[in-house]
Amino acid sequence: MNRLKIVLIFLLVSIMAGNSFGFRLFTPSNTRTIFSRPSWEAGPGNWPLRPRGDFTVTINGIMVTVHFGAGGVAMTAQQVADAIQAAIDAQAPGTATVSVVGSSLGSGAVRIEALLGTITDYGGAADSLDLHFNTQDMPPSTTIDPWDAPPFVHWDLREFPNCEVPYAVNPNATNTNLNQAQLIAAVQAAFTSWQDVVPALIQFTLAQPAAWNPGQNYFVNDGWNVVSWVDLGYNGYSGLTRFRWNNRTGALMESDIALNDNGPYMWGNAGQDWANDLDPGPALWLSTDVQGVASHEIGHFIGLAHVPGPGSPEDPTMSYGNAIWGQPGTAVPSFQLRSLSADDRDGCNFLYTPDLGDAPDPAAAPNFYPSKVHGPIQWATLNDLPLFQPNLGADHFFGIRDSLGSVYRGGMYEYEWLGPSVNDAIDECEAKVTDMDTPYDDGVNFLFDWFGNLVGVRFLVSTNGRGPARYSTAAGGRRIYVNGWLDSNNDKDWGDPGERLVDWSGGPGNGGWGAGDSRTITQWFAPTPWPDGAYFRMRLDWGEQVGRTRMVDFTLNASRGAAQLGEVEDYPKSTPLDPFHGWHYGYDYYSPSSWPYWSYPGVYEVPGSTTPTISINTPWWWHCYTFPPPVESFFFGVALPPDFVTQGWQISNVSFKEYAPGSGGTVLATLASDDSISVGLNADYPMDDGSTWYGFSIQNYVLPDTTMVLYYELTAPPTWNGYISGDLHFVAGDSLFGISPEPYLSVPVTAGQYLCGDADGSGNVSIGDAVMIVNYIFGGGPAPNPLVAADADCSGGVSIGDAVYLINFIFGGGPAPCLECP
Amino acid sequence: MKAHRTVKLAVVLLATFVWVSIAVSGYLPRWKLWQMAGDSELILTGTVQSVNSVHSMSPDEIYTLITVSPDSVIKGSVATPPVTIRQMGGTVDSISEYVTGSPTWAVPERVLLFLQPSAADSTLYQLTHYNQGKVNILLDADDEEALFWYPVLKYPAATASDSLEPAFAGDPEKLSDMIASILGLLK
Repeated sequence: MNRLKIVLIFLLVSIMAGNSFGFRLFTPSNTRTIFSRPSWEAGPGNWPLRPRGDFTVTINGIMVTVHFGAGGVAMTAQQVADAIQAAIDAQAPGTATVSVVGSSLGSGAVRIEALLGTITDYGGAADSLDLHFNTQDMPPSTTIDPWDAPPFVHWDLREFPNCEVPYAVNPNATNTNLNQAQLIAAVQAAFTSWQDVVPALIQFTLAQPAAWNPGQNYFVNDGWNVVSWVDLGYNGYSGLTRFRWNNRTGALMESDIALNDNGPYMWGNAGQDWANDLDPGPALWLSTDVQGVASHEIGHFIGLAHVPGPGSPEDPTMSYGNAIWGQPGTAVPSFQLRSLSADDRDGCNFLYTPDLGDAPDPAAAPNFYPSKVHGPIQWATLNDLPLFQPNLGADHFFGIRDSLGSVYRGGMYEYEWLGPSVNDAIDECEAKVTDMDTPYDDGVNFLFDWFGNLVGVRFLVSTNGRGPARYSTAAGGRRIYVNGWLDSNNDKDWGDPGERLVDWSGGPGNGGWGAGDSRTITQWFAPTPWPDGAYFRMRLDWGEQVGRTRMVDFTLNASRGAAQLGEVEDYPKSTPLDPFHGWHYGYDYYSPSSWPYWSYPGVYEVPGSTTPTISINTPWWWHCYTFPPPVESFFFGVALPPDFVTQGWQISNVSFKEYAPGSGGTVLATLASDDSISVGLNADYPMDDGSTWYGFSIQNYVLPDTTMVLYYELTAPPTWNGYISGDLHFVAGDSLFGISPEPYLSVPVTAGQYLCGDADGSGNVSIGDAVMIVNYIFGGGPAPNPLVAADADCSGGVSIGDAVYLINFIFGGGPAPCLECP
Repeated sequence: MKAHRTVKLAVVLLATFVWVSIAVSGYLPRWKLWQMAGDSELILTGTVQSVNSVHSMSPDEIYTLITVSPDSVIKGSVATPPVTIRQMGGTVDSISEYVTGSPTWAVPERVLLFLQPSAADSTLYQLTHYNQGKVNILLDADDEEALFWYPVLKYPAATASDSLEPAFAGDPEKLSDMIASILGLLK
């Protein structure tokens, strides 16, 4: 039954272990939670704290000062936070809510978060995301984790064909003993070291201009990413990176790197013998490794900020502490900058392992879903290369690390990925991970009624063996949360009232779910219309609701931002479903007006009957299909709620008509239940949500390889109000050729329009009905069928009052039975 | 001015041998106080009055103008206060630019500034030696004005132990002492 189930499976790919420093990220507007350095002093045992002097925080440009005076008074972190809160309330009321988030135990550090307002660093750089301590109180091993929240400054990979971010190298350097080709090669090697990081998607491509414009360099925003040698002044920075980004999305627009073409830097290659191979230049000029410094600056180029490092050989490339030059007269050192550390790779992976949120194509129907990661190419250029226009595909999942290390996964970063990239033919990014859920790349199944209203969604959740980080099978443990939204007003977000249609949780945490369990879930809701171009978004979160992070680690904000464990997929719907439309194998839908067959009434007529069985004599659905290969059989299934009576369902009058708009079509084949082909509701599969899956099949029948209309009738008993839905599967040989995408079929079923009071099913109300009711109640006579037809007074039950009601109606001029039985 | 030239000369000469001994930081050498003082045209203490970013279209760049109301001028003179500092980067509407290592500014922080004419506009100033030209002034544990240099971790030294030392180890930490030291260097 896997083919009838829709799967959300989550890959956690463990990539790297160990973390000494923690990478740091740029945030779009320097609005991180930063407190300036007062004179912190860790008390005995590094706790509590002894703040002294002034403590300042800048909120929305207003500096708030907390004066601790001479200090010396031991305070807990909460007391410190309370003092800061009080000062903020007094000086800038309502701008921030301060709370203690956590602590780097053993260091005397404390994390204090401001949930509101814009808090900026005081006196520090925008890329400094530390709490500033009295570092002399901190042991050398102290590390400060990044404390970031999205959006982060990063390249939006949706824009770049094959994820290749372009750059150019202007090798017009003066202070070098390398030729221009060597300079370019050294920079290329640095880019290569970053693009070799796995599973990050980011790639780079050298895209040089036909001719260099003299002004085309670090200082200019000109639509070119350029690495160039620029005079930054003697003793100035060896390298600087200047970048522009959209501070609402964090998406980088241009990034330029300047390498200082002034002393004391003499640019060379690590390992070169300065004395023998190169002109040492002025005696005090220091040999500086192009590739090493470029590696550091490229870290900035992709959105990584500095991390503190004491200068040991194990330092990350993004640390300050690395030596970058050798002594005069010595060889250019082969130092660690060229080799990315685990921290560097973590940072790169954190930013560039996004879940692009594109709904995966069904395994049997490649390219079924159009890409929603990006729109047409050439909405802008960078380095003269055309870029894709980012579309609504999500771009918001990042690798996460368990800083608790020993708790699970050993502190390794994990990356979640659902299935392969789609639409590879148009150069979307490909994950550098193995797709482990190919049998389940079906996405989510949406269920619609006859009128195109969204009435439900079906998905499958699998625990898939990932343990404590994601869920807990213990009662009260972490659960699975699934949410679904419909952008019902088509405003490109999912946050408007009423747009959240699915709010389900369950599985682990309820107990009874183990590793590897897979459960099909069907959620029904009130019929919801949807407009042209609307998007659906389905999101699954493990142990957290709607992406609200729990403190798996401190790399993400505690209360908002990207989910740490989970998955999200966006499903485009280009055209509302018409009640008389099926799906077409392709993307175009047919207008009802072009179809003569669509002359059936848009209502579901259920005639009154003298029998308890309702015959559905109108066709359920029209389907238009084009079959690339011959289809030898098809399987049709419907999911029926547990209280749905399934006896007596029959399929009949199955026929296929050639598609010929306006002509009425030609009947290609007609099947019937009494043909040799097996037709009928002949199988049932209990579903995890209590529903039952029924199906019928037509075997060994080669369907015409053409566009056609499928026509059939279904007869079913009416004992349930609601919706049923189904999928259609096509088989070629022994292989499942295709599964109808959602929506395939969803039909409203209502109880029959029995004539209330017609207890004996005669088709009218008479004294015989009252007699039958009396016999049923007092004489052990047969029950009315259906029983509700005897509820003449619409009281919700059958009693002697119904017989009295009928007698009053027939003989005393009393009110008639209600039009519809309850 | 003679003293100024002397200091500049000293910078050049002494730089010939300080390189070997300086703590090798990642990407910007530490500048000693005498170098900072010598290379600055204007040294003052003051209060940040405003921080505004500008998006210039030709050339296409974003820069930030910071006005500082001086309360004490240690070197040079200010004809028409406030002093305006031009710094690359900033945010205008939804577009931001940033140069790695740029200091941030806030109103109404108290600062000690080492300034030199802006390379982009000589009527404005820029920080001397990038972010080292800005020093924050706060009250210390003794309730005296003390100096808080650019975060010390910006200037780690070559060894782990060095990295934990203040960036300007040996420099005055009290504002009053710092002013006295600068004046002494400028004599």
